[in-house]
Amino acid sequence: MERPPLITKRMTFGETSLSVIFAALAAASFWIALHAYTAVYAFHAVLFALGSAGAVVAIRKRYQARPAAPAPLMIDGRPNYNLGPVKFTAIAALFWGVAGFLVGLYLALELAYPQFNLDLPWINFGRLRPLHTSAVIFAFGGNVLLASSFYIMQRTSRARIAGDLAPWFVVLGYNFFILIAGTGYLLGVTRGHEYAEPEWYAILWLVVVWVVYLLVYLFTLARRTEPHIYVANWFFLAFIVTVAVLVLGNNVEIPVSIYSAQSVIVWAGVQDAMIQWWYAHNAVGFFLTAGFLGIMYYFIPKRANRPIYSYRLSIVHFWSLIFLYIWAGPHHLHYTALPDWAQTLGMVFSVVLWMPSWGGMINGIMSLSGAWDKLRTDPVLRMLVVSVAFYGMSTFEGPLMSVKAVNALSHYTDWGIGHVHSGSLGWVGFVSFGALYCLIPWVWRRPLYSLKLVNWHFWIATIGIVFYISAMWVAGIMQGLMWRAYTPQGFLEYSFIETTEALHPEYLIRAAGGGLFLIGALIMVYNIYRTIASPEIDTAEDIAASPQLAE
Amino acid sequence: MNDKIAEAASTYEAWRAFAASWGLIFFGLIFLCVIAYVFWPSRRQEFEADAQIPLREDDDDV
Repeated sequence: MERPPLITKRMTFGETSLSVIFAALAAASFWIALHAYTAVYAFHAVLFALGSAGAVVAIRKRYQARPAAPAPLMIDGRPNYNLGPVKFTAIAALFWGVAGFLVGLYLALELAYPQFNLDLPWINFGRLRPLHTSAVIFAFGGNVLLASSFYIMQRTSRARIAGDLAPWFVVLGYNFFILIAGTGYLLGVTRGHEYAEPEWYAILWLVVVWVVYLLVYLFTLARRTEPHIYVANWFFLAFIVTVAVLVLGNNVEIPVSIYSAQSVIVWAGVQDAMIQWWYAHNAVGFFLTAGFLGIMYYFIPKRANRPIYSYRLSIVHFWSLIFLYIWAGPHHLHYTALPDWAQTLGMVFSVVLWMPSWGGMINGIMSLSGAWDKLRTDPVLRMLVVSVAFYGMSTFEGPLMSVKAVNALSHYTDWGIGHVHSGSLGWVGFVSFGALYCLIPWVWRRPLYSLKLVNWHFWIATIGIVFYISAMWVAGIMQGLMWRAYTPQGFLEYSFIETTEALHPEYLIRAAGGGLFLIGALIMVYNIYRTIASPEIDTAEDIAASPQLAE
Repeated sequence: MNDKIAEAASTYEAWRAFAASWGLIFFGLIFLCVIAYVFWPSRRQEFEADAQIPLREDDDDV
């Protein structure tokens, strides 16, 4: 005999109000689509309308399928972690990663052979490039950060994530933002600011999603049962708060009309340039560094089964990193109309930033002290540790390039591209792969299909990175030297097209490196697919099999 | 008009000088406070316990 339900099932306040909001948004978007100035904007308004209508239906379906009582916070004295949003973003990260690497490879081939743009406006270099950068940074990196932050915040707080619909709103809303931004680039909607291309309506949506993300994080921490907030969470919080401030600061703009995709920025000229590079450099500092350091501080200790080398150093690392990074932006504007003192300030803080960066690197790598043998036997841990080594390398290179004398040679050349990729492929890419190789088996409760394939992924991708960055070093320095070469009569020795022609061999090597990196990622996708397709581990056996804490 | 530009320039100069001197001292002091907080001997055990947080779980090792 079934017991009658203790509480009657009815829609929660959140379900009702969110349905109403989305229904209103769907109607408003439909109205805007009918009156839009351009076809592209109408297309985006239709996407908003469809997405909102889809959200209303999804909330309804979810309500029908769920039990009457809200999900319990604890089951058998253990936190009832909500891993659905983690799983979704982990898979989304793999999808966007492969898509972003593929577009990157295509761009590399376009640079080597310009015919590859096929004379089509949608895939010319200028439109594809922001698609590549946003796909790898914001789509791949962003989903990795969402997955790992939602996982780490729950585990280290020993509490279920706050909110019922809110975490889903964050992960689906964020990916919807990616869709709007990405299709916009291809169709020619852009603000023309690097890493800040999405127009006002996409940004407005992102800000709402981001504020909910912050609230979910804060409310989860507020219900934690662990008294101390583990350092990884500090890095994630710095990442979330700072990205919100940066996006708001760099998007002070007035839409031409609610029916137009275009907007006008409030300030122009050197002020705009300064705000833009304050934004963009701290997008590197807080999106690609602080967030992924949160990943490092959780997954390296977890995988090595040893605590972080020095918890005290991690706190110094945190405070000095966030206080220093925010000043380094002006180094992107050396020898421009920016006041000289601001350029010097940017340079000095970039050089000082070397110290916390290396402090963090030492902290990550030294966590293996006494367990170095694991580097030989565990390719996932090796991936994580090599990512930190790349972090150290690119955070040494960055300050070097920010020194004005070096910058005079390196700026506007492919050296910059190489530097960015040693950071993004080596550090962000590898730490993400390592984290996903840990996270996916843990949340799906299945053993990883093949460590051997991880090993292949590691080596193929590493060789790819080495090809990429060494080709760009050669290309960049050659380019810089050719640009500044004078004849004895005082004329420039090379025309610009001659410097471009000289780069062709390096561009081919770069494309080969990018291709290897993509192959590595495809191996990973296969490995993860086989992992998820395998049968789940029995819980009792799993707990018995878990290794004992080394005391 | 020229007066206004001169006034704006001197305000700008004053703020710049303030940021470059007192701002630097302020951040330096914050850094020293962080160092003092972190390396205060009585907090050693507390931090060592905190470092164990990720390892104090037993149900996710696959």
